Amino acid sequence: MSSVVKDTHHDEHPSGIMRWITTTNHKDIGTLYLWFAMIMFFIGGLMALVIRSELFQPGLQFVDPQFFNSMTTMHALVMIFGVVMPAFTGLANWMIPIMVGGPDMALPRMNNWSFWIMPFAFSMLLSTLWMDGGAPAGGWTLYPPLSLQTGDAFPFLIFAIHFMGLSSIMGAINIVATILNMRAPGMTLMKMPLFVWTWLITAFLLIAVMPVLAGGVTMLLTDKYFGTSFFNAAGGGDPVMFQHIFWFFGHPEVYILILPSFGVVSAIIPTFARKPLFGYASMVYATASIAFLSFIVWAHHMFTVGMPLAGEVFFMFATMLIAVPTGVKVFNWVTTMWKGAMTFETPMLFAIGFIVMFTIGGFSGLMLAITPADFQYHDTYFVVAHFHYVLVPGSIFAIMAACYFWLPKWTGNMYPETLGKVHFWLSTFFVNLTFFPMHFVGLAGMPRRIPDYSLQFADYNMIASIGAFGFGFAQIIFLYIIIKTIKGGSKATDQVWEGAEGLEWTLPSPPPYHSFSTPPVIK
Amino acid sequence: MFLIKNLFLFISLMTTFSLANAGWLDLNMTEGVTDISQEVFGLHMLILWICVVIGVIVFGAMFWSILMHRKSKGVTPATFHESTSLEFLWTIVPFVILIGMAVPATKTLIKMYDHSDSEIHIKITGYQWLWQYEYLNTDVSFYSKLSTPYNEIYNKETKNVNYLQEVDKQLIVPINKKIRFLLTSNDVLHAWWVPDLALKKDAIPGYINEMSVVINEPGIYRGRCAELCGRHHGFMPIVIKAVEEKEYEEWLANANKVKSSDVAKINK
Amino acid sequence: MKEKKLNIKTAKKLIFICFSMFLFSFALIPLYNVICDVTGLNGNTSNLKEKVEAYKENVSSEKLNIQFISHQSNDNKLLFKPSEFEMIISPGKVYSTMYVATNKTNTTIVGQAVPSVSPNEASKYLKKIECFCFEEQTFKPGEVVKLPLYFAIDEKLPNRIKTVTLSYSFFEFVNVSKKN
Repeated sequence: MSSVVKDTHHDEHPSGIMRWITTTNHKDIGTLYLWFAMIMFFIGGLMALVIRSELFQPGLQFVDPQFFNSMTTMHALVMIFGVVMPAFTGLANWMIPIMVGGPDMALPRMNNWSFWIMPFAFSMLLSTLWMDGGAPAGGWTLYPPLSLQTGDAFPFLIFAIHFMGLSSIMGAINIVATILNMRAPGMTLMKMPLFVWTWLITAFLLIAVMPVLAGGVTMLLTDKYFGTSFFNAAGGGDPVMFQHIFWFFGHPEVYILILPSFGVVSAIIPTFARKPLFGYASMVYATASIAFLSFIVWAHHMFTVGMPLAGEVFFMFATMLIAVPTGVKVFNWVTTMWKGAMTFETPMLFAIGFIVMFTIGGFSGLMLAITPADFQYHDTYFVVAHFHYVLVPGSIFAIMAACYFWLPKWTGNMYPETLGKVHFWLSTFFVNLTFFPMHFVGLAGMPRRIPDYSLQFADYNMIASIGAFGFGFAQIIFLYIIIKTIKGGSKATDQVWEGAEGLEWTLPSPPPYHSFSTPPVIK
Repeated sequence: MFLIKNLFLFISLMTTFSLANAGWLDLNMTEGVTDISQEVFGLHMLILWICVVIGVIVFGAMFWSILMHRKSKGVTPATFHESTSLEFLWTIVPFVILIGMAVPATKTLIKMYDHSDSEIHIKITGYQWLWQYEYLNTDVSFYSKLSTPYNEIYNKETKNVNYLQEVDKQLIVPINKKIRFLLTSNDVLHAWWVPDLALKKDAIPGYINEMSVVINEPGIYRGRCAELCGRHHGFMPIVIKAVEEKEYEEWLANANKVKSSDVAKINK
Repeated sequence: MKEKKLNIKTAKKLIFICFSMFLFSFALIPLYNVICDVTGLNGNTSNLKEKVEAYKENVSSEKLNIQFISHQSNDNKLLFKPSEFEMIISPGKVYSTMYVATNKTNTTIVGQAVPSVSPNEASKYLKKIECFCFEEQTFKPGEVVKLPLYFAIDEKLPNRIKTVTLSYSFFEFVNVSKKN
């Protein structure tokens, strides 16, 4: 990508590797974030394939159960903190300054820091795989007392989480400052593209909850090494307390992973429907109310810990309420498509795939909210199916849609359209092959996080494993497309897409090194 | 309320129809063998069908526009971009549907929380990685752990039909009597789950949780630990055998006799 | 450079929010304990001594089952059992019972019993007037110790609760700090 950008800037800055280490340019940092996410996506994917290989047939074939638990734990941590969050931060870095008509991010040096912490955090996390006692195997939720049984890896895990949190917080501060202070004259808040809006709300969520996670894991650390008893019943603590702290972070975190995808889809659907987004204002309010509700529903992850009846009922009602603003969003997207003049290029296909499959994930989420039924779903593969439906064909598909959508703008080259469509259809087929059968095994009684299972679950697990390998290999096409497009291809116009609207399409493709040195005029 | 009752009727009809199809049972939640587990199943089916109906409408509209409103058909795009009444409508309608679902769910939940008039009290303790059962007010107490041989797990022998869901000592309980379980743990979190009884609760060290059940039919019901508890989390099944009351009394008396001969009673 | 100042100002505000949330996560611990004391959220009863005088009158005619169970985390070393499983009591009156601990080893065991009440809502109505769980216990090798417990159930206990279970888990101090 460096060759591309070189043509278009006129500033003096180091070349080669030092350019990337010292860069304070929002586009460079965005690119770094996106490549980092791509690498972690394949690492996390390999871990998923270890899990699916072991689950291909009943019995223990390939790995020790302890290592299996490490894989489920690390897969989750890598995918959440190493793929989805950096990818969205990368997109934010690239697009937000352009979308609001600013020259760069508000705090460029902090921007550099917030990226370069990430590789250290993840080297630390991944190095635990070679440590005495193995990598963390207590689940990404780190529930004590089990997580306190982790060996030498434990402090590395905790500090890795601290660093990831620090990086996200710095990124979020930067994004908020950019959106609040760097807007071009005339770019009022209610004129901002939805991607900027969803990221503004996401950034506030990050600033509010990442410190809570940091606090929670710090308490785990002192419980293990300094004899405190925050979560130890023997010393007057309560293990369930950790779950309250964790999910107070964890539920907003879930929306941190999905809100920016709402923004991406809200940009793509109107472009290819050639029709303005339906209900812009209600989209903004819906996003804000989802963010607000995310703070009062955390205990729905803990229906089985034995809360009093009133607590269970409150969290059931609050959780069901989230369906209302989420429904508004889905209805708005469908109505945007209604009576449009649609074409179906790869970004549109991924966006439509997102809406359909995210909605399926939303439905199973609604089912999980019903407390008495949740007693049967809780900690089964039904839950695994649910959150993978909202995260893989949800967040990941939105990230891919965004990559295809803005790749011609970033590189100045069009991606190979047919290959993109092949990538979409293969991904969609295999993602459903992987995760749809998980609903069935979950309902039939298969708990999550087990390396081996009884015979009645065998058929669907085999199907899911085949799907997982198919999905994994389909992503190699994605990598190939990206590299090929960076290297060359037919030239993209400034507008790129016929129906595209917004400031990013007024800049040349690829855009100059400093986006808007003179503020653009906002209609 | 009339609407909800009709929906329930519709669902039970749909269920009986569906049960006739082979293989359906493998795909769906168990109906279970208690009144509450059947209510839970009803709730599950109710919300599933509500989701299906909403899904058909939303996806139907979407695919219709994908088919009809495409550029290749030469349509000119409309320009409308808001409608307060429409947006208001699809905020209110889901809200009403949600209340319709929350009401029966809350009723079932209240029943689940009623542990009064229990006749049998059993304490369950989770260990890494087995269960301990104590029949309170008797001396009967035993550990129950996986009995599947290692050779089957490591693929050296053919797996039997109850692979990974068989234990050395089953939990014996009577039918038609209210049984109250008190749940705690020795080390880390566990969760005691038997799908047929619709019972799942976490076992937490230092704390006790309770749940109760009345089993309607005799039989063997199998469950699993449902909260990650370490290396052998997947290998600590639960097997519970529900028998007629007389058989239970006989078993308990026998078990008591064996116990009291080798366990010294505590002097008061 | 007016813009730069503005950005730093915004960042400072956000960092402040960040730090407050970090402190808030620690504040959640006492907050949770307060909520638990008020609502009985986790069934953890207070380890505080109640005044006896308050429970001489107000005897309710309702009858209530109270059950005693125990759990010892090091099951082969210490036998720790209630002397009776169940009592039928009237709320408002003071009763006594005891737990018996037998040290089956040749070493001294030091630890503390941690109470838990089910249903959780009942925990705030259970008043312990004298309890061995208030202080740490030392069991000499082979010793059999009777541990008395004086308690009352507040007559304000909701009527729907008919059975209250009091559980003691005995935890040996190994490398856990002694907290008071």
